[in-house]
Amino acid sequence: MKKEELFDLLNDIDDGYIAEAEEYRKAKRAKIDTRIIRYIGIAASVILVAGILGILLMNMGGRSTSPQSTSAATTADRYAEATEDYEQPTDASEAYETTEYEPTTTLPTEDSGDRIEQPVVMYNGVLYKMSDDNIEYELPEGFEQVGEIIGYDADTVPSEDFYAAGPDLTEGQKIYGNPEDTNVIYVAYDLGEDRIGYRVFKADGI
Amino acid sequence: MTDENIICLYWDRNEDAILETSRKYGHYCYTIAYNILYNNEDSEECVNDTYNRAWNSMPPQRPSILSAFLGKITRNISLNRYKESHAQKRTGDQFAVVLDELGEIASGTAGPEKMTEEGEFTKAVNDFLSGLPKDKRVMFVRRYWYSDDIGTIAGRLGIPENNVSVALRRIRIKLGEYLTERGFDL
Repeated sequence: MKKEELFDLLNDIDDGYIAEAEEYRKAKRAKIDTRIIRYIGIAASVILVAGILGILLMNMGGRSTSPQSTSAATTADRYAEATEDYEQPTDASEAYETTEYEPTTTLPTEDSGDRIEQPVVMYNGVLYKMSDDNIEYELPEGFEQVGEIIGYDADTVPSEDFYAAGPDLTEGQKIYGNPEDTNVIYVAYDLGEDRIGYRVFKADGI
Repeated sequence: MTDENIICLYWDRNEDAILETSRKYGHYCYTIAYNILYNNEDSEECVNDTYNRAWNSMPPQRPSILSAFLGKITRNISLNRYKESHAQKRTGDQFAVVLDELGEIASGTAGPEKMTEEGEFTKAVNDFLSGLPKDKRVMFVRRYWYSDDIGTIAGRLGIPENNVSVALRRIRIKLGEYLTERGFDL
């Protein structure tokens, strides 16, 4: 056999392997990008908190008239002084407002015109993002079909249940959930030749 | 637009099918062609030929994975063009290196009758690929289907180039043995 002939014969390998090899990088890249962004966010938060604490301590030190006054009682007084303007929330709902859930990932909006690079699905009011490119061939125990993708737009973040966005998703793909584990859902993919694979989608912010 | 919608446009004989295919898979097909031809103009022509062949194939065909369907057409057209342009000369281009690697397990002589049974050969290769770990399978397909260079594969998989070269060599040897054991005279 000539090498050109062998190359030609390889043209007809399973479509699923061709698609798998094309998708592999996209998911890896997204994973790396998310990780880097997360590290930068953590580092920025640490610097911010350290800065605020530093300013607070400097202010407290400036008000002190006696550098030797380092007793526990004086420290307590300073703490009370530093926190006297802070009002405790009067009820649970008020306190809850300060810890309102916010997605950690910024996705492009409908008006931004940006492409959504990572597949996302809305289910039970929660946005689930594809976590990696691994394909499972069997569903974990406890996961049952909860519906299917009924609407798809490649460029718009979904705002209704069973709507999806991002690459490689389409209407009709089945969605599997587990009431005992709402952190993840699975989406079925047709791999060709009557083979079905499942990809895990994690709730945004997890 | 979803692949299913694009395929419906072909079946409806709506010329927007070409436009939507170009938008979604133009770059994908171009990369496949360029990895073989290393020429912008030729690659663009191959992509346009791909659209024409897709137009003539759907209907009756309704591919389950549109990207792979288009990619196979592009790869086939590009290989034919490569053969035409390299009939007289043998240059040391990157694609020639890919072919030379495959030449390590091919005898170089005209294939026996069994090789004409493409379906049987393809099934054997698919069985072989299904037994590989995913990263090795991706590596093989990227090299011998997409004709990616070693550096690109290493970047995609996040491993050193040398590891890719060594792994590909081992896979080639295994594939050669696997096919020979099953009666394919390479």
